[in-house]
Amino acid sequence: MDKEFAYSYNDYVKYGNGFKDLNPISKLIIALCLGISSCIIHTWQFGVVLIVFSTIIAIYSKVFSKYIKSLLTIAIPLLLLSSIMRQLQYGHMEGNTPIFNLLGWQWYKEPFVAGMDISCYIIGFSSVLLIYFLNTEMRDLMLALENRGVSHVTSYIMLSSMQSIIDMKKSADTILESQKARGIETDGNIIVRMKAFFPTLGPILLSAMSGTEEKAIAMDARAFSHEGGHTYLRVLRPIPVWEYILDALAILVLIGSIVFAVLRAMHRI
Amino acid sequence: MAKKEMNKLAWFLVPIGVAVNFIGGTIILLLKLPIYLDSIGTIIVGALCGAWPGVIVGLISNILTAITSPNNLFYAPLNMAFGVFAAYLSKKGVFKKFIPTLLSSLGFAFIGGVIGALITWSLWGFDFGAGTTAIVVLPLWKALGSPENQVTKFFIQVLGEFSCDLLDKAVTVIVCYFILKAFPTRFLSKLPLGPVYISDEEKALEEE
Repeated sequence: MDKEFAYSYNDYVKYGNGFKDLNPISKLIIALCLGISSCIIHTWQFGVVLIVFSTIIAIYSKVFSKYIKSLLTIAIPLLLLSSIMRQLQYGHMEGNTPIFNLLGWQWYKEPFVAGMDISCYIIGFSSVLLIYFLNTEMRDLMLALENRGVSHVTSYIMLSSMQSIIDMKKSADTILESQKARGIETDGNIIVRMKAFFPTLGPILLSAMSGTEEKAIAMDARAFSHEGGHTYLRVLRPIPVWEYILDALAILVLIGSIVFAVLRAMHRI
Repeated sequence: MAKKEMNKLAWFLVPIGVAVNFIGGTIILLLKLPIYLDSIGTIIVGALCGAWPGVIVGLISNILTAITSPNNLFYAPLNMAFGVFAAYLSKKGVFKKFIPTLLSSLGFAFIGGVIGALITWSLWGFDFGAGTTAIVVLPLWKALGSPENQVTKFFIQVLGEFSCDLLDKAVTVIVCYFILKAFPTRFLSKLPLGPVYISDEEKALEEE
């Protein structure tokens, strides 16, 4: 068992899932190309296609429950707000086609479609990026970037930020509890609650800030500022040819969407 | 050599700034207050370390919030602009006194209004966005007789975002003011813009 764990470092990083095992940068290219083309095309049809695509990948890479939770928290308010907003805005315009009556409030087709276009393209954009973040560990992405020549300071800042958030949340809970024990009021009217904010944030921030100095010294003692090459415990697998082809396809989709948008704009004029 | 050391400490403050951006929001949620306070870290790091660290704090904060809600990525330029503006004001010594600090919230809300409206405007197909700003934007638009003029509509959006942002930014800068005041001198002296906040008496003490 121990031996197995030790030998696992001899191998490339792998998760045993086709999508998860893609190189983090390849995945990023795919996600960004699809997301940006959703913004460019800007119609509900393309948004829905992307949402379906992401959902299939979410099921395949076994992150569906987390994915759907995040997606719904984005999608439901967006869909509701945008359709209500556009109805209020353009509902009274002439030449609209009525679709249904909601307790005496007449809804029209044109503003409804306009609202759907906007919310679906934003949800489409969000869905592909959600899939990306759910299937990529930040340390793998930073490792891939470092292999491409990005400075290790960037990796440190990014990864340390994530860790600091976790650490600080813990100390925030501790400090809020101890301030409560000391007798500070955290319930009551808005002024009372506002007053409780300062004695909570102050100590967290100051202790974290003064901790950075020791951290800087500790990191320097471990050759953080050394300019030479680094060694890594984790090694990403070499990129196979078909991964490049996938990226090329994603870029083609992006180019296609730009062409589509330009043609559509010319057609309108 | 000495200068390089200072910059390094600034880099180590970036993760703290990002975490503070998050924690501000978390505490607000715990205390059930109706504001966001999600740019305290950006403004403090901008004020102490300069524009670049401030911009990076803003960018990373938005990338990390994008992990759970990707449309925050679009609003990254907003947080980055706050970092630049904080560094500029800090150099002018604005955060040393209470009244100028409070007035600076107008500037932050203005940036938030204009850049925020520009982003919302382009995201929502060059039309009003649906969100909290709609509470201000829609009645104002209807009151003006629903003009279809793009410029007028854009101004209404700017006004909406500005008014929604003002209270939030006022509280943010007040928090930042007190935090900057509480910093120990020996720490301030090591940061690029830290010396701005060291009081004259302490400077005199040092010279003695």
